[in-house]
Amino acid sequence: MVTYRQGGAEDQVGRRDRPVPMDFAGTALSSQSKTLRIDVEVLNRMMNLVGELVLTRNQILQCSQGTDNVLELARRLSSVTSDLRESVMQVRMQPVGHLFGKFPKMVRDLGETCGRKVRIEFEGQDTGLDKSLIEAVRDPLTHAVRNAVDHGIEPPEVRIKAGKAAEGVVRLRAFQRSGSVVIEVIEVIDDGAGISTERVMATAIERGLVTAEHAASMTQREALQLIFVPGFLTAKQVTSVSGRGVGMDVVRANVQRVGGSVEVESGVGLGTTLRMRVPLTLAIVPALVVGSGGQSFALPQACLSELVYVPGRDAETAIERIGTAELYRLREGLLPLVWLDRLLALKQSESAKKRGLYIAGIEAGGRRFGLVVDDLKTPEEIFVKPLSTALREIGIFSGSTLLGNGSLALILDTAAIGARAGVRPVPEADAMIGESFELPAQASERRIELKDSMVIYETKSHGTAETSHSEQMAMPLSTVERIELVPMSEVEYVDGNAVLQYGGELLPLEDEDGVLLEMEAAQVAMVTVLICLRNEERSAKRVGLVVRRVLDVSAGTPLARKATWSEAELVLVKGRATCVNRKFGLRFGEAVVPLQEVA
Amino acid sequence: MSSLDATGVDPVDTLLMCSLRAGAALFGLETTQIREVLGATKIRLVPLAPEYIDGIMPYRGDVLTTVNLRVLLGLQRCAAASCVIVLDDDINEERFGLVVDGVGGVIVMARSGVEPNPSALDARSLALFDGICRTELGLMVRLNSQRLRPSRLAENGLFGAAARDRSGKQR
Repeated sequence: MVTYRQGGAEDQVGRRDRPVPMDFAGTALSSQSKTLRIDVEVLNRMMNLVGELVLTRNQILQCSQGTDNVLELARRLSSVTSDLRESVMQVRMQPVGHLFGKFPKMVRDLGETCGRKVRIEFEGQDTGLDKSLIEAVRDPLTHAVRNAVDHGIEPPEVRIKAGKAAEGVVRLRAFQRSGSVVIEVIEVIDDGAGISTERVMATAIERGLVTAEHAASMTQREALQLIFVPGFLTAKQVTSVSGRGVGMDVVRANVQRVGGSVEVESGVGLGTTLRMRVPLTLAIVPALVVGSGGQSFALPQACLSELVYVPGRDAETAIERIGTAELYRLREGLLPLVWLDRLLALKQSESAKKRGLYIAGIEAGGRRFGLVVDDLKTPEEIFVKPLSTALREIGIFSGSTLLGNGSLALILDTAAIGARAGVRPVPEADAMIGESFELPAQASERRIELKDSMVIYETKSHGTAETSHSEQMAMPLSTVERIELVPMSEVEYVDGNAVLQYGGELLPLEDEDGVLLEMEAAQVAMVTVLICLRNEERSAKRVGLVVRRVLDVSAGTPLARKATWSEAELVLVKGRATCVNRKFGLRFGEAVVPLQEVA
Repeated sequence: MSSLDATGVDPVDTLLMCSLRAGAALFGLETTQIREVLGATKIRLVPLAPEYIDGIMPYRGDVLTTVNLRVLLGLQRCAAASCVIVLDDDINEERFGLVVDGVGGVIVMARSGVEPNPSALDARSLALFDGICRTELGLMVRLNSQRLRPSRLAENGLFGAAARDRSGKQR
């Protein structure tokens, strides 16, 4: 065993009161402390920005009499604020390496206890993660590494027999992946024995977690996910290291609590990969503000899969009832409905009901349901403020936030709402995570039916104003992140190219059909922009596509491709031939779908 | 404090009590526990919250839970403008708002003038009150931020259960 010389006397003291000795002094400190080490550069920049902020405030105070340059001041305030927010976020970002520091020693110690030869490797220690999230994934990650050593890696003699090196490898890999929300992915990969799905199923049946018939109908991947079910345990014997009943369900619960997800991949004899995905930060959450019973609530967009509007006259027929359950037929499936105003005992607004129903499709905590609200308001980036314990105990609100108009809104905990309303979790295989890891060949067919929806929009018109007929185009819904209505005045030009300031970044606008010119000529105040994700190598970039107007979101039937339209891909949408815009990459069944990623 | 010294009162033995009213009774809170007295403030309702909680309000970058003293005393909520006192509970590091009818002046009194709660009080009053003292304005009930904090009120169950029974009728 390696001895530690660098620690010296301090290390000795450390060992006495800590059950798990830490590897480096730095990690030992960072594991508990509430302090941060900050780059002075970042601090200077923040100080500068705060100065700017004060300056702008003074100007606003002075100009409160005249209204001439308020707009300019507001713009400046907005840019200073977003810069400041970015720097503050940067301060909170800590390298993931802090988290990895203690593992080499832990793995060696564990290896010795369990009689395994194990080496640990790291990748991507420098990627940043919010301080609070680092704390949140610490325990699940420790658990996963313990599992990898104890259950994953085989004893040396078994490994040699299997034709592998005597020394097993546990690899920790951290990287960021950007969809519409940047997420951090941490993988624990071992090259051990892998998880036998037969054994998993046998154990699950034995413990009464699934029935034999159900197990028989499961796919390999579904069976593998059983290890996350509470009460699951395959360890043959209880050791000091693992098999103590605190299992993968706790790991998953911990990661889900911070809005992440856990998946497992395994091949018998090849090894296991445990993949945790967590958002980069918790403090600022993109949300949709909804109204119900005269109050505003914030709905985190991470759990929002789609929005459906049912006009008042269709409301009665669109909702089907089975017993007390109310269901809405959404495409091929039935969506259980939860009325927010009834659930919260708010006064029910009849006028809103007459106007129509807004159904927010929610996927959270393995549940899928439609949340019925009276009104959809603005999408906003909200800053989460915690609630006092007395209010947290209600169990339906995860926090509160100040909205742009200065009023307070409660943030809805969608998973808890689903549970409170009695919505049953859907089987794991159908839930939001995971699809990305099926083999592409199998996945492609399913994806076509699931995600073949497209945004249908109107593009260039031919002929004169009276006799014009427009052409309709379709953009795969998976590429479109958002549809925004932008005032023409906000479109700016750089070097003759149209750009738009969008959420703190400069968005290039694509306007092939000259919609902008046309709109300007017609003196239209607002222009519709599809915010699309252009997939490149590894990252995705946002691009705005200017369109005349959005017509519909619906599915299309692919038409046979004619040789004459060499490039164009045609689909039939509600009886009209429509050309599919594939400019931003992504074909069906290919790559990861960002909309899905949000969930 | 220096002015008190001049009047010959021992500062260690004096209490500075901020008087406040809820219903007919007079209450007092030690000024050290009060962070700020706000006027009428817009409070956002929280659905399904215990009855004694008025709602939440923004306060200097935080969101405070407000407790309604009238409801705690078993009185009807007052529709007229009320006053919010921001209280700090240093021991539990909890900050919250207390909604009262109105705030009066600060009363200086001797610490020894506060007598323990009379045993004749009901359980809810015993849990809320922190002694009684005699002032020029009449009997004053001493309150304590530690006893009023929302999480404690939720814990002891005296108010939570009753609140849920009444919630249907009042709201």
